[in-house]
Amino acid sequence: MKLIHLTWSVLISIYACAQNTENLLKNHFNPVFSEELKAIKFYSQINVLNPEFGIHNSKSHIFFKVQKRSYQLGYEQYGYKLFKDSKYIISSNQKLNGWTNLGLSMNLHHLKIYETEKHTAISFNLGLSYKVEQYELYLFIENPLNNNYEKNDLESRFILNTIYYWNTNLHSDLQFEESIHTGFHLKHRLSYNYQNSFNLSILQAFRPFEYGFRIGYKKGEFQWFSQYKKQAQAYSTGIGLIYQPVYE
Amino acid sequence: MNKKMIITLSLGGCMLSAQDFSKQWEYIEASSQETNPLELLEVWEYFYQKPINLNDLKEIKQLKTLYLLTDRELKIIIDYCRTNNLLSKYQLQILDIEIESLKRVKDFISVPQTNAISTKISSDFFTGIQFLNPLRKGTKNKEYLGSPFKMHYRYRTDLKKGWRLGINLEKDHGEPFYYKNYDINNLAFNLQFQGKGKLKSLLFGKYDINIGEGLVFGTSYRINNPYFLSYSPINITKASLSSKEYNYFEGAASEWKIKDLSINLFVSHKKLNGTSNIDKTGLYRTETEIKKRKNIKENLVGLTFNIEKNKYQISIANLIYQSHFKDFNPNYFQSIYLSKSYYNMKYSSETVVQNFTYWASIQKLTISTSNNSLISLQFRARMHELFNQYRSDYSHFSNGYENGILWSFQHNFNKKWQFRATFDHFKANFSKKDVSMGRAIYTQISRNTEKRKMRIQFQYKHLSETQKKSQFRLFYQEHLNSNTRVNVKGNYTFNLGSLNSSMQTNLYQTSRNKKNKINISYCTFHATNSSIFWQGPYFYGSFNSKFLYGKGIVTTLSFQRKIYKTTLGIQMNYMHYADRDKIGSGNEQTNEPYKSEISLYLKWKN
Repeated sequence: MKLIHLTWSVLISIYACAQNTENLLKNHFNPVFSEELKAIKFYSQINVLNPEFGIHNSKSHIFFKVQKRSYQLGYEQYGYKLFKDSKYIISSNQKLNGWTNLGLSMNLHHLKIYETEKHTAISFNLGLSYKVEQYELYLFIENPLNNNYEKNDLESRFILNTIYYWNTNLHSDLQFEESIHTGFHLKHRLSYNYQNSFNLSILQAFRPFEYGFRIGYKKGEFQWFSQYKKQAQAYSTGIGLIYQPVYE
Repeated sequence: MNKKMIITLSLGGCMLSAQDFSKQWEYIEASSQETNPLELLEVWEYFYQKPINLNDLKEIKQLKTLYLLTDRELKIIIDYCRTNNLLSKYQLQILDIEIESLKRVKDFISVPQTNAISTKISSDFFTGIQFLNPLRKGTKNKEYLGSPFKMHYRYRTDLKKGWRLGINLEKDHGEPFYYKNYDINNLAFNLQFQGKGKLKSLLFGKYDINIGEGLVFGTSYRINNPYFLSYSPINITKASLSSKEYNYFEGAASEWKIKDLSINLFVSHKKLNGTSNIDKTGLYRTETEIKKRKNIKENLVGLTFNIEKNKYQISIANLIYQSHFKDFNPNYFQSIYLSKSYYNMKYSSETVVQNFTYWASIQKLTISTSNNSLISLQFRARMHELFNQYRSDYSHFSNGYENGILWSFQHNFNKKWQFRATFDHFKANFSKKDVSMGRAIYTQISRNTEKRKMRIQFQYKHLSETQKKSQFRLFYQEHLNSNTRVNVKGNYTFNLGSLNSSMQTNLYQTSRNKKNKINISYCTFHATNSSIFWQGPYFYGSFNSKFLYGKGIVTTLSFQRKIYKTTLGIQMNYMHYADRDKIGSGNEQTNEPYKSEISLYLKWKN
C-alpha cells in the first residue's frame, strides 16, 4: 500500500513539475509561481529581438526554499550595448489555504543609456493563485502604483491567467492583460506534454496579432525550451534552460 | 437534525450578517451592471424596516422592486402566496427555489402573526463623512462656500400607532450646510402612516410617484437594464429618504382602499433647481451655482383610481402639473394603464394624453412559452412635445428614442445557465428633418452557482455609420472559501475603430464571526475615445461608481466592523492617471495626476 502511495506521489510531483515550469516562460513573472517550484531550481532564458543591433531580452532566476517558504531571486535585462534596462527581483509568497496563494515581489529597476542617463526606480508586484482539480486562476498586478523612472516609463499591468486542463497531457492558458500604457491584450497558449519528456506549445495573441510555437525537452535535471515568435514589430527567437539539481 | 431544520438554522445564521446587505449586493453585482447602489440601498432599507406581508396580494408584488429574485422565482412565490394563507415565511422553503434566493429576500418579507423583525427594528441612524485629497481649485481659491467634506446624516424611527418618521440630511464637497434664510442643504423628511382600515397610507414629505409604465411619472428606482423584460406598477406613491436632489416630489400623499378599488390622492409643492432649464447636478457650491438653487416653482395634484383583481388591473390617473419652466400654465395629464393575464400570456399597456393634444403609448405582450422561457414584445410611441421631465428611464438603453419595437427573449437552460437577448429598433422623435433610426442588440449568457458566477454580455448599438458602438463585458466570481470571494470584471468597448478597455478585480474577505469585512479592489483602465464604467466594491453609504476616461488605475481598500448594534466602516479610494498632470477643469481642477477619497461611516440599528 505504501509503495502505491509513494509511486503515485512521485508521478504526481513529476507531472506537476512538468506543467508548472511553463509558467516561467511567460512574459511576466507572477510571484506565486515560485510556490509551485518545490525544489531548488535555476532558470535562464534569452530572446533575441533584433540580431543586427543585438537587442535582446534575457532572464536569470533562482528558486529556493527557506523554512518551508519559497523565495525567488532574479535578474532581467532588456536592450543592447548602449541601452540597458535592468531589473533585480526578489519575491516570496504565502499560502492562504490549500487552494490559494498570495505572492509579493519587490523590483529594483535600473536604466542606463550610454554616457547620457542613469535612472533607478523601485516597484512591487502582487499575485494571487487559485487552483482546483481541473483549472487554475492567476491574478497578477504589476507595478500597481505606476512607479516610474521619469514619467510612465515602467510597465503597469493587470493580468488574469486561466489555465484549463483538458486532460493530463493537454492544457490551455488564456491570458487577459490590461496595460495602462498599451491597453488590452489577449493571449492563448495550447500546450501538449508527451511522457513528461517532450513539450509542444502553440502561442497566439489576438491583440496585436502574434503567433509562435515552442518546443521543450526534459532529460534528467535539465529542461530545454526553444521558442519562435512572430511579433507585431519583429521576429524573435529564444532559448530557455531550466536546471533542477535535486528531484522532489 | 432533518434537512428543514438545517435550512432554518442556516437562514437564521444569515440574518446576523445580512443587515449590511452585502449578500444582496453580491447577487446584484453578478447579475447586472450600471446600477445606482445608493438608490437600491434605499429600497432595501425601506423594506428591511417595513417587510413585505406575504399574505397581502398587493404587497407580495413589491418583491419585484428588490431586484433580488428571477422572474421564475417571483412567479413561484406569488402563485404560492396567492393560493395559501401563510403562517410563517419559512413555508417558502418547500418551493422549488434555491435556498440562496430565499436567504437574499428573507429580511424583506414577513407574515404578520409571526413577524419578529418589524417590531424589533424600530429605528436606525446613519452618518457618513468623506474627504477629498488634493483639494479642488474651488476650495483653495475659496470659491466654494462650504467645507471640503461631504456629510450625510439619516435617522428613521417607528412611532406609535402605525406612524413612521424619517429625516435625511446631506451636503456635498464644497457646499455649505445652510444657505441664506436658514435654508438647510438637501434636507429630506417624511412622516408616514400605515393604516389597517380604508385609509391604507398617508404620508407627508418627500416621495416618489409611479404611474403606469412610467411614461410621464416614474421616479422610483429601477435597474436600468435592457434584460429586465417587464415592469408592473405596484405603488403609486412611495415615501423616499433618498439624497437625490431631482426626480422626486414633496408634499402629501394618501391611499384609500375599498375592496378591490384603491384611490390615491397626492399633492406636491416644491422649488426646482435651475434657471430656464432644470439643473440636475445637485451641486451648489459657488455664488453662481447657488443662484440656480430652488428657483423654479412646481406644483402637482393627482388623483388615481386603481382596480385590481386576480387576472387584471386597470389604473386611471388624472394629474395637473404646473411649473415656471413651462410658463406656469397648468398641464392636464390622463394616464390609462391596463394589464390582463390570460393563461401564460400577459398584456399590459399605458396610454398618456397631455392637454388632450400630445400623447404617448406603450404596449407589451409577454408570453411564457414554457416554465423556462419568456418572450416579450413591446411597442412604444411618443410625441416629442410630451412632457418628459419625470418619466422613468426604462428606455435609456435605447438612448431615449421612444418610437420603436423591442422584443426580448429569456431562457433558463437549467438552474445554472441562463440566456437573455433583446433586440430593439428605434427612431428619433426629437428631430423631424434629420430622421434617425437605430438598432440595438443586447445579449447575455450567465452561469450561476453558489460557488461560482460568470456572465458574458455583448451589446451593439447602431445609430448611424459614424455612431456605432459594440461592448463586451465579462464577469467572473469565485468563492475561494466560505469567507473569501474574488471577482474579475472586464469591460471592452469598440468605438470608431478604437478599443477602450478596463480590467478590475475585487477581493472580499469576511471574518469567521462575520463581524469584520475587508474589501480590496484594483482596476486598470485604458479608454481613449469612450468612457468605461467602473464600480467599486460595495461599501455602505457611498456611491462607488464612476465613468473613467483616459489611462490609469483606481484602487480601493475598505474595512467594516460590527460592534453590537453599530457598524463602522472606512474606505480609501485612490485614482491615478498616467496620461495627464492635472485632473478636471474649472473649480474642480486639481494640480496633481491623482485623486484620493477617504470615507467613514457609522450605522446604528435598534
